[in-house]
Amino acid sequence: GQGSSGLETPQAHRGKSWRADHTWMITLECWPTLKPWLVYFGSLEMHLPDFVPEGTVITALHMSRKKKKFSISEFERGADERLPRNLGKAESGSSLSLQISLATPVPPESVEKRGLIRRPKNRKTVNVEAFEGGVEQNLLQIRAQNYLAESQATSMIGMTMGTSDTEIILSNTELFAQPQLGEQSQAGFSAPEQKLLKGKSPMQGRKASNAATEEGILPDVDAEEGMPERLQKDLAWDPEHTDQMAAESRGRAVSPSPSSENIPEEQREQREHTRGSSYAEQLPGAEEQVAGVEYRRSRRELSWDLRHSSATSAQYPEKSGRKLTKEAVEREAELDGGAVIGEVGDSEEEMTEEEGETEEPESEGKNALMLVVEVSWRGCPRGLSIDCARVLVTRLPPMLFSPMPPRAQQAAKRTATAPRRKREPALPSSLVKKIFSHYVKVPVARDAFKVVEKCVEVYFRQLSNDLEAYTMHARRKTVEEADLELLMRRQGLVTDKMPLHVLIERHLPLEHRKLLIPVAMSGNKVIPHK
Amino acid sequence: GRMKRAAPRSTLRNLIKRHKPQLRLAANADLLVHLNFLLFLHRLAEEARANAFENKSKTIKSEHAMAAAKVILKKSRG
Repeated sequence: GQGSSGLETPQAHRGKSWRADHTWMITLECWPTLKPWLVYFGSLEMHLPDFVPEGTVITALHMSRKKKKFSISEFERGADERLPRNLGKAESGSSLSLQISLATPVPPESVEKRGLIRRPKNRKTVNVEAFEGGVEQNLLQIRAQNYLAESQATSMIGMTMGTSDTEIILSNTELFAQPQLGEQSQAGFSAPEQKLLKGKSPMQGRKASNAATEEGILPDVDAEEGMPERLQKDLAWDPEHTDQMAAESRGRAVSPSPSSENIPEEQREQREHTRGSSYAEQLPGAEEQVAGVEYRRSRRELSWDLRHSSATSAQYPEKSGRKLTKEAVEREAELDGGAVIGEVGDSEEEMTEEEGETEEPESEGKNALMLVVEVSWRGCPRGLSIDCARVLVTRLPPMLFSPMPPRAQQAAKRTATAPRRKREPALPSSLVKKIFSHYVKVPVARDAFKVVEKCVEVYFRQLSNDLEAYTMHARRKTVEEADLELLMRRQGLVTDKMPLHVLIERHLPLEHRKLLIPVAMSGNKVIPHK
Repeated sequence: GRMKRAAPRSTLRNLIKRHKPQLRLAANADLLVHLNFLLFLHRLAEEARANAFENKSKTIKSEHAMAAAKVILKKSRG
């Protein structure tokens, strides 16, 4: 016999189909163990020469056949997961595993599914949240841009930031702060970040429960969902910020860090505001301007800012943390005025609860946060900030750091690119280049192609406008071929001397021509069927 | 000869959808859109080539393309 029962299946099946469908599975599963069997298999007419030692290539083929939406990073991760498992299987018992894998055609697919299952499901939820958060941020950015334009007029802003900041902010369109660690902050960043990351994971459960309680105060779920990104941004942004703040004295202007270009605009705006409010002691009047600018902001955005500053304060030494907290809190106070204070009254009970927790040692991020807040509350010079600190405190628990393990970070980053990846459809530039080059018949400069591409965009915009006009005029909702013909007539492409059909025949490929031009065949059959 | 590339029908539909989401396209209307697009590029190419010849240049440069674009876009208004 030819060895195990599983090996008989190849011969049992029709060679070709089996080969086509199942060879890759064998590769995937047992390649490491197959090598000694190759000689044995020589007698069988199995076609194995193309097999790559890793199953990844074949896997790629299979995966592309099955699902086209796999991103490369996902695939690689899955491949990495699968490979060690395959090797582990091979090591367990060579012949035994081989038999098993050969006998059942299921394993590779189940391996893949297992690979899918193995991926933490919560990643998907993070994706959704991250995406919605990204949408929120987009809105925020847009709004923030408007505010920023207005706030430029204020002297305080003028003091705190140079024009370079404005340009950088206005030109920055990133959804997420790419954590570009500055040289100074790199060492300090990794340690607190890891601590914070680990500290965040147990908090997620609390977050959900607290969110329910805090609903009255805090805005809705989508604000929560904005958290992952915000926090990620915080992580990226804060260490640089805090190092700066810690390094420089309070009163001095903080120069923007070199890596701050990528920081989303909203954070930078907040930073400016906090910086601006660092001058608050010197310029009490300036705060009013800030308030005036920010007043129009929604509460929700503000609470995000609060959480920002709370999050930032979580990692810092008390001093700067206190300052940040206080300032962010002051901002909120200025903004909401009486509303905040009124709210504070309600939240006082909660505050006392939170306070009890602040006794714990400052090891985890959340506790650090509470401690900082408590410190700020205790050490506050102003009566106003006491109340605001309370508000802060009450808002802290729900704000809770959602867990940002590296995986979720990657997921957030990937979903940060996901909305971006779903960019607007545009004609493939290769197609445009090809067509244009063919029509022009002479070499074309690369810059000229860019001009052409731009021109095509404008053209499509004009086209859709015109088509809509024609269709609406005919009181229809669907653009018909007659509309297109009318358009071409008006453009001067179709004339009495040049009917549409001629143009169709000239420029379109046969398959399309057949669809457009009814061709009468004998037997009273017309194609396409009208 | 070279193989004429098939019209990217779905891309064209998405493009128009993006601009005018409430507008629908008939079954083969997107083919006519593609035809229109080809004719537009054709005109653009002719105009740009003419511009380049006028400047005694053997290649199409961006300024030739830009001038041609202005003229042809104006002509292509419905």
